[in-house]
Formats: sequence, structure tokens, C-alpha cells
Amino acid sequence: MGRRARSARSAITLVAASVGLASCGSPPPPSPSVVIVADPPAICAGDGHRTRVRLSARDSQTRLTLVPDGADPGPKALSLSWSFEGAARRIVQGDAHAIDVVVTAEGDRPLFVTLDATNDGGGEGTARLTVGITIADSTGGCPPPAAEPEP
Amino acid sequence: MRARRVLATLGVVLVATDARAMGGAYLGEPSRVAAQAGAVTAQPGDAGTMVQNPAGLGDVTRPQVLFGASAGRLTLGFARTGETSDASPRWLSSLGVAIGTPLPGPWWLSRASIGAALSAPAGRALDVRVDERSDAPVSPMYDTRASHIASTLGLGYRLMDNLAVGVGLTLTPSFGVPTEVTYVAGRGKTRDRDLVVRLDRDLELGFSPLVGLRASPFPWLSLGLAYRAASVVHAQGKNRTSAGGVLADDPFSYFQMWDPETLSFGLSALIGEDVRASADLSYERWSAFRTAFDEAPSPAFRSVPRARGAVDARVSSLVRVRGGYAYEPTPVPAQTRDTTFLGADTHVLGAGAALDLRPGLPLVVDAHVRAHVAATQRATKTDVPDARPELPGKQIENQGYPGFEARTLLLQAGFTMTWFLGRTAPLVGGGAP
Repeated sequence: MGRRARSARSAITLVAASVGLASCGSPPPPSPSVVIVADPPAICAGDGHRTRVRLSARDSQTRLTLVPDGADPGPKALSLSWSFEGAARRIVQGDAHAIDVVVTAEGDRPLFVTLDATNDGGGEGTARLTVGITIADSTGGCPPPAAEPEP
Repeated sequence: MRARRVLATLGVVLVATDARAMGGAYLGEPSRVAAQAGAVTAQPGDAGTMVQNPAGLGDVTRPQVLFGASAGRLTLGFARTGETSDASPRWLSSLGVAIGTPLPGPWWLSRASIGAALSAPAGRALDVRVDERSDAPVSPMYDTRASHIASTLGLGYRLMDNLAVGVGLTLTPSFGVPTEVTYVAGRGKTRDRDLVVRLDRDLELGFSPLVGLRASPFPWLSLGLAYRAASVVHAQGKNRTSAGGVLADDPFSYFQMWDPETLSFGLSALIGEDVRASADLSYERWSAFRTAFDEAPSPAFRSVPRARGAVDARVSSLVRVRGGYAYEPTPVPAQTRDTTFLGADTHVLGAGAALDLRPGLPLVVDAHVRAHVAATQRATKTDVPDARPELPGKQIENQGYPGFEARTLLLQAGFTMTWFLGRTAPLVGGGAP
């Protein structure tokens, strides 16, 4: 076998090995722990943008963990992106990338909230939460439900 | 409304690739079947039509190998009343291979033919998706039904020259995932290291049986009858979390129906020498459908009849053309309560052609195009349950509230190549496909 043929074979082997390694891939990066807390968790039906709903990502962590870690830098070290579906809404405080966002909604239907988060290692996580609507009870009133206690 | 926060979504990928195939997977049938919208129960069969009627294997008088591929674009459009449609087009593709051969030996054995078929989606070998919420918009017909490997074994036997019977088995894997999470304080240097997670996986294989019969009372008329048991996959396991004296035992059971129990009757008639007309009537028992959380949906699905018709004509010594139509009433009831199942009455239109290169070359190439065009589904959520009964008033969080519209469109194309090997045994039972 000539030198040129050996070189060509080596090059093919190298390319094949590279392709093989690339296709094997590596484990996905650790995901962040993404948490949304809504206060209040629901608004009255037909609210008409009167109630301010605070959506917070403060309990999110950079690593997916079953045990909250006080040493974790938390949401400050995450790239956050809020998105919404359902009821017509307005962001009245913060923006689509803030840790805390305050929104109001029309209240004709639930507001479906999605929070996407990416950590420094490229790990991605998503949390979803629904801000429901409360239809008046038999007393005719609509007592807005209290915020859920934080875990 | 029900929410699952732990083990909310289970996606099972056994082989890294998405698309009822030769082996039994939805939307992956051979081109001859797809082009005729499935109206083949009474037609002469081959190794690729075992799922439609295993008795068709009795027509395999020469060893044959089929290879097929198809690709399609599925658009599922969903929009709550007053909102813009969230259409999510995606590609479905499938590869399939099937082999069939008559058995050698004495006359009584040579009347038997066996077949095996395997189809694989070009995406995932097995895909079970369970949304964390039971009210999520889900299409039981199209979401993941096509996304699994399917394999079928069959045996056909010619009892008489004009009567064949067949049996078969379609593989139905189930997935067991026992999970145990234990917190052992002080085990590691960090709290994360104190966690012990035991995750086992077990793939259990089950089978759903097929039986069929094909008779030709006259040379120009064939009748077919086929029964297929439901094809269901389970993903289930223990999910136990313990920390000190605290024990949370939350076993899960996920359910996915690939195909309902089905009884089909067909007839197929030769008109002259070159034209074959076929019609099928099936009854599909969708009433046994269960939600992804293995619960009976409320209201329950309906069992539905399905009607199919097809014409296949020889236009030259080399070329055949064919077309078919099927009407598929939806088994999905009006979605007025918690669930948001997507599905509407669907028209299936198929067309195709075959290039028969025999006897010069022992090869037949079939190609098809097919469309599933669903009517617009409109639903109004008039009976949504209270999402949080413990709170004052009625809490509504349903993802389909106050109502929704949904449309489904599938456009698919594919081909199948059939190689014939060895010598041809005497042909019986109604003529070649």
C-alpha cells in the first residue's frame, strides 16, 4: 500500500472516528430547577385588568434538585423568559426576562404562564402555571383565593 | 382538573428517530394498502398486508421481500375560542420490511405460508407521552400512535383453493419504570449527594392476536373477514420517595392505545379482466379507550364503524393505477368537560400506481399519496369541573376553556418495492394482487 493510500485511509478513519464521537454525544447539561409562584393564584372572572398578579421565579435554582440549596445563586444566575397564552394580558411591571413580573388579565379565561430558564452550563428547564379564574359562588361574591403558601 | 407534578412527562426513546405499517404501526402501511385507503380485507394478500387480514398470506405462493418507506406532514391546529391557531406541523416518516414464503414439504405443508413484518418510525422506536395535565390538548389518533416500532408474525393456510385462513401476532411492548428515591442524611458531602435514586427499566413484551379468513365463492368475487385485538402499550412503575420517617408512595400507570379492537368485513370483485373494486366495513371498539393516566375518560369514547372503498385497474402490461376513499367518524365525544381530546370526522383519500416488471424482472414497485382531511372540531366547555374545590367559588384552569377549534391535516407519500424470489407455486384464491 502506498503512502498516499495510507494517508487517505488514515484521513477517512479520522473523519469516521470524529463523526462517530460526535454522534455519540455527551450527557445533557444539568437542568435548572424552575419554579413559578403566583400571587394571587387566581382572579375573579371578568376581572378586566383590575387585579395585579405577581409572578415570581425567585424559588428557581441553577441546578435541578429535590432539596433546596441555600448556597445556590438562584434565579439571578439564570437566563429567564416568560411567555403567556390564554387571556388577554398586560405586563405592568418587569419584562419578559425579569425575575418578578406583574401582570393583569382580562379574566374571561385562564392565563397560561410558561417560564423557560437556561443556566450557565446550557441546561434548560421549563415550568408552567395557570392563573385561573374564579366564578362567583352562591353568595354572589368572588373572594379571590389567598396566595398559596410557599414550600 | 388534575395535575401531576412528579413524573409528569414520560418520553421513552429506545432508539434515537417519528410514523400502521407493514408491522402494524399506524400510517406505515404498504403503498398498495395506503393508496386504496385500507380497503384490502378481501383482496389477495401478501407479506405486507398481514395486519389487514392474515389470511392473505395464503396468496403468497412465492418467496417475497417487501421494503417500503413513507413520509408525511401532519398539521394539528388548535385554537381556543377567540385566539389564533397554534398549528404545529411535524414530519412523520416510517420504514418497513416484510418477508413471506410458502413452506416447503408435502402437499399439506406447502399450503401454508408464513410471514414476518417490521416497521419502524424514522424517529423514535417507542414514544409514550403523558402531559402533566389531563386537560392538555391531545390527539389520540395522531399524537404518538405512529411513533413506535411494530412487528407482526403471521401464518396463512389454504384450506381449499378458494378458501384461506390466517393467524398472526402483533408485538405490544410495555414499559416498567420502578423508581425509588431515598434521602439519607449525611451520606455525602452535599445534600444532593445524600439522595439515592434507583431507576430500573423493564421492557415487557405482549402480543395482540390477529385472525382472518378469505374466500372466493366465484372466480370474480372474494370475501374477507378479519379480527384484530386491541394493541395497547403501558408504562407503569412504583414511584416511592422516602426521607427518614416520611414515605411518599405514588405509583403511576400510563396507558396508550395504538389500535382498538377491530372487526373488518370486505368484499372485492373483478370487473372484467383488468379492474378490481373493493369495499370494507370495519367496526373499531374505541369505547375501551383510556386516558394517558389509565382512567376511563368522561364522557367515554364511542366505538365507530369505518367504511372504505377502492378501485384498482390495469392500464397496461406494466402499469396499474388505483385509488381509494375512507370515511372515519371520530370516536371522540363532545369535549365539554375536563379533557381536551382532539378529533373530528375524517375523510381519507388515497391514490397510487404500480409498476409491475414481471416476468422480465421479479420486481413490483408501488407508490402512493394519501391525505387525511379532518373536519373542524368545535367544542364549548360547558361543564368544566372546579379545579380547586377547597377554595371559594368555582376555579377554572382548564386549557380548553371557554371552548376551542381544532383541525387535522395529514399529507403522506410513500413507496413499496416487492421482490419475488424462487419459483412460483400454483396460484390459488382469487388472483394476484
